[in-house]
Amino acid sequence: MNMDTSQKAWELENAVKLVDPQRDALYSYDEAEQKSIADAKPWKKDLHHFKNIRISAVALLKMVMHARSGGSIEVMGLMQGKIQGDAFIVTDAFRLPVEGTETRVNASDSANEYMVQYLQSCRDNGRQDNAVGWYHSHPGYGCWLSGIDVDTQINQQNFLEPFVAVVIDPDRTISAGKVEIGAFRTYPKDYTPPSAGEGDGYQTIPLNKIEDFGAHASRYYSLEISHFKSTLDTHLLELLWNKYWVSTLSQSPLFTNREYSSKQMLDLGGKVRQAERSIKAGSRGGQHRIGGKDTQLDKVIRDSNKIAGEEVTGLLANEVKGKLFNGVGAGHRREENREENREGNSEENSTLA
Amino acid sequence: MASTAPNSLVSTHKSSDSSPNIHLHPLILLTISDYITRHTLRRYKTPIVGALLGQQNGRDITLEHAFECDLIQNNDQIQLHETWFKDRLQQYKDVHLAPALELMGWFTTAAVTGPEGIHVPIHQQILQQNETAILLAFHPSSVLEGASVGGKLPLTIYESVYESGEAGDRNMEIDGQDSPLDIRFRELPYNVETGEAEMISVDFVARGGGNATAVDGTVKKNEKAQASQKPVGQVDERGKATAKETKAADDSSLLSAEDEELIASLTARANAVKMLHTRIRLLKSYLNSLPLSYLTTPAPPISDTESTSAPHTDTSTSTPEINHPLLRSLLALLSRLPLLLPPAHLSNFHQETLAEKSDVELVSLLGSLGRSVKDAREMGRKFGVVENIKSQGKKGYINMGALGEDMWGSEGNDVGSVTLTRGEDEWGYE
Repeated sequence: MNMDTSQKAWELENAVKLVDPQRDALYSYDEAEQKSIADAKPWKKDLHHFKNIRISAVALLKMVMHARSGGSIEVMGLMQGKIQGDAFIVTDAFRLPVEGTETRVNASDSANEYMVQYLQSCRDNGRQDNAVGWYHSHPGYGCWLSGIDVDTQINQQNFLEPFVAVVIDPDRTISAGKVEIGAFRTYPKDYTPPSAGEGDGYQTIPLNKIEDFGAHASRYYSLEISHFKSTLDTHLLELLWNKYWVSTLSQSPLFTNREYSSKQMLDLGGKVRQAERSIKAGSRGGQHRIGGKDTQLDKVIRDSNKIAGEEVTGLLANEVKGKLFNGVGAGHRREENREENREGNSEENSTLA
Repeated sequence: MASTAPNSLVSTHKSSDSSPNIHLHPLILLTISDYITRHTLRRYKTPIVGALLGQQNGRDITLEHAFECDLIQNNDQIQLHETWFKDRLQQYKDVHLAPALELMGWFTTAAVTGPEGIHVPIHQQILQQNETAILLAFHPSSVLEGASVGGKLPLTIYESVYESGEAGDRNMEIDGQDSPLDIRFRELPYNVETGEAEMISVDFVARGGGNATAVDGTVKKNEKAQASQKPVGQVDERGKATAKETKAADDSSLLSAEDEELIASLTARANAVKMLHTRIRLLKSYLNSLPLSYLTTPAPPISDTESTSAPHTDTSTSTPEINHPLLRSLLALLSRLPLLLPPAHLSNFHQETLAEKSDVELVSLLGSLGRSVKDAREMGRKFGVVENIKSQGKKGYINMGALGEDMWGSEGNDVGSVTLTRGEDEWGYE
């Protein structure tokens, strides 16, 4: 069997034509370049060296599905990829055999062993991508790093640099209808960042987590996330849209996420009470003006706006559905009645045909 | 699907009722696409072969996950690297426990005509692991030709069957030739299935603009602003810092995050409605193009009815052939429509919808109430500040006027009481 025929049978030539080397350049991998970057260690000089993370379509999909499959249990996995300038390029992701609890996830020895084996067999298959980060899920309580996560990430950054931490919230992904994801790098232990203030990346944190969130929020910073896809991906996704537009119409987010939104409301109630208490205390002591702003009330309001936004989105989805389909049956029924009166059993006849 | 060139390996028999139903997940497609792209750009010369993982439940097979495989050349045959494959499979099984995924088949690239002889050795290997293994053939050529217009994905799924070899024994290189039965591939129908989270992320990926252009080294990549999230910012090959700034500016632009979300979800729905509309129009134009019913039109020859039931064109040449299954399912759909909302449940349904609606309205009312509270507080605060300054200015003026010590004191007390009442006023707002 000569090379030509085999190439033809595998359709490799045509496969090559599907790829646009210019537009899909992120999928290539230059071992020497990666090595020189790893040797240069630009992240040692500048703690803020990494500012971006770009995730491939397939990696994003794998991570979100993994996070969702865990239900209310935290799950964890690793990401493979490379470094380019100030960005992590994540090309793939894989799961780790780790059983988390509802509040934490931590890699054990067996997971480490699994990781080494997995990466080795990737290399055997000619896939050079290194592990560049880990991801885990925070079902229902937003994308940020807890104390344990921060410690894990500091460890990883010490030993496996360059490394990035990604957090996905599958519950909010469902309720908001878009992927809730965050990417973080920690600072070294002895470093105190200039207080940047809480300008960007505001999010809702449940009451029972807020302490953990606040205690460690200054120990890491978040990266800007974008995702990329190849030309072939784009083509396939267009075709896929032809298949799954039906579910866009038929889903009812309010119903499927009822539990989540009740939880959100409960949490909001707690927060309102807390804010009220602190405002009362503040007004008595005249304290609340000192900060210039009562941030607590602010947060509560933002939370409630967010929930309201989600709910309204869900309601509109339902209304669209109702407008489209509720009338259909009724209209048909009316018509049918009319027709039955007029033409008798013509319909049944055509059924028989 | 009848292939133009006869392919000895593709079975001519239609898939039987006992054939499995395939549910394909988008992740598989993206994995294959990712594989092809990466493979090409890294200039690997090996064929593209990977394994498919999924669940089997009776005759339903889901294809959920895929991974690429290592190959070896063995006596002119390309085969899977046996030990590597076993290890890898185990690795994947270890992490897909709930629900447990099993090896369901494999994928490769092939011509539209179907798998060739060189695909068989690998299939035999896979068959050792799963007797009902299926083959997903991805057709790069049909992507190139744009043949997939009608929403058909550029792939075919085959199951393998053993048939008595009637079509000549030309495939001498196939091992297992000594058995009297030859392996044949039979095409299977499939549908695309998505989980909810999967759908959202596919949607997310599909809508977001970012392509995979990489500009050299440190320069920020040409990144299209995501249409759904930052409609204003056009971040194009600027420095990293400016990009960040633009983003920050975008966030504080006119629309709030909630509004953006709402718009995004409405756009998705609008697209879906458009799609529905085009589909219905397509059906309608098809129905219009059909010849008149031979039940309502006076004199149809009986032989005509028989000829139409056979799948070739009837007497009228200009009209398309009558697709009876399609018509039947249309009728079924139409007669099901009234059941969509049976009258018995109508009032219940309305009540439920109303309750849901009021819930949502209540929540958004709460939201706007919160906003008003905040605004009122802000207003009160500003008022207090102004009042303070005013009174202090008065104080200063009085002070400058060099009035008596006791006057100053009483004035001070007075000012204090005024602010206090203002403070209470402010509470009245809330």
